[in-house]
Amino acid sequence: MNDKQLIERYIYAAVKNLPYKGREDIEKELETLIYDMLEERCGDVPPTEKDVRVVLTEIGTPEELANNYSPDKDKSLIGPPYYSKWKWFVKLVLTAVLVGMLMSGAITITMQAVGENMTAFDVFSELLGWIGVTVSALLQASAAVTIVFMIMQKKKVSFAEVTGVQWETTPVPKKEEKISRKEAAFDIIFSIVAYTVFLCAPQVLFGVFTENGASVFVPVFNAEVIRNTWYFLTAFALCGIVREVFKYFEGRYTMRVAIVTGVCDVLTCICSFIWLTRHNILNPDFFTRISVVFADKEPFIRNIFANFQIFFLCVLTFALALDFVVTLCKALKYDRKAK
Amino acid sequence: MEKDELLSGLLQELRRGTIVLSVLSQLQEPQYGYSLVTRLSENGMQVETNTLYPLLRRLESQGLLKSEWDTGEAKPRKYYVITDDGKEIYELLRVQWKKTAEIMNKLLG
Repeated sequence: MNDKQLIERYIYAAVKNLPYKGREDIEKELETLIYDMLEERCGDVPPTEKDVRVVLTEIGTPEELANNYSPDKDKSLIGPPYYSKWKWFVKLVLTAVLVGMLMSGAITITMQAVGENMTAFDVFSELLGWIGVTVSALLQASAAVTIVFMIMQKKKVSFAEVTGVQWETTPVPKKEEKISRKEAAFDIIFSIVAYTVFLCAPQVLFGVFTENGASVFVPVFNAEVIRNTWYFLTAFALCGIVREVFKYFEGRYTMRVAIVTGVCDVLTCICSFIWLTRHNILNPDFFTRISVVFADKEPFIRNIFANFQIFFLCVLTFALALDFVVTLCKALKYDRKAK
Repeated sequence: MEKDELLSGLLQELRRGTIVLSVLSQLQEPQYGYSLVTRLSENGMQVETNTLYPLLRRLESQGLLKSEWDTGEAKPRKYYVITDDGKEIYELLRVQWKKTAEIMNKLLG
């Protein structure tokens, strides 16, 4: 290899991954630099291959040079001030997804093993399948969190903007005014675990009936309908997560927390109404069996089972309304700034 | 080893801003990259070429420098010179540097 080829290869290695625009300019500039340095080193004597190698070493490796020229130098996917919050959130989400997936796996495999008389080999292969699904779920969850933070960094969204918290106008909260961060974190984990378990193992709620002297597990929900209407479950989980994340960052009862809670609760109510009135999420087999069990019981209990979806919707709406009223009362009581 | 790495990192941080100021100070008249390296080196400011050349491009993209190729000589050379915006920024930086140097001298004794 002659000196010219060596220089050409060095320059090519340094610029090949740089943006196309300006690459030719850098190539020409580097070439002039190398020949300037060779001229200074050798004067009028033609440079040897060793001289060329010494000069190229002095300039640095092509990787170093490319890194210094790169427009992405010193840039990071998630840098400060987002990194610590990303780390906290990704840990929380991964823990929740892991717990949810392990619970779903345990429920599904146990029920299959009992109901279908599976062999040890079948259980083992099911277990391997669940490990694969769990790893994939963990990857997807961390990717989703990372993408959200990446967008926040790209758009330079500040956390003060998200929560609207301005330190000058924010009095230090008294103990009773504070929202426990542990509680908010627990609620986020609960939302994700419930979402994962309900979506992956809708048979989590089941009744045990006796049939021909043997026990039969009959799920309360229709797994197929639950899985086909996954977007409702996702909306519920997202509403819950948004509400708790906001509480976590706000750290105290304020009107903003009450408004966010109200909006999330109303959205959950609307989604629940559509979900429960348009889709039959319950397992008909379970209700046929339970009706037989309660056939000679109080009409009130029979009515509940006959209109279970409506009953479920009423309970859910009541719980959400209660949650909102409690948050609103605390906000009215403790939001000193609003007063 | 850890101490050396720590020191090297701190020195790098210390030098980072001074290189930009040094470069702006020497580009009141057009210079090509290697002549600038030599000039800075003669004044005791050692700057690696793999740092300087990308820095010149960055300062140019920030509007502090402008460049022009001179193809009239045996080797084509790209000459950089400070812009009006660059001059303005340089003056402000120079004043700030003098203040900082004074404070540091006082602090360090």
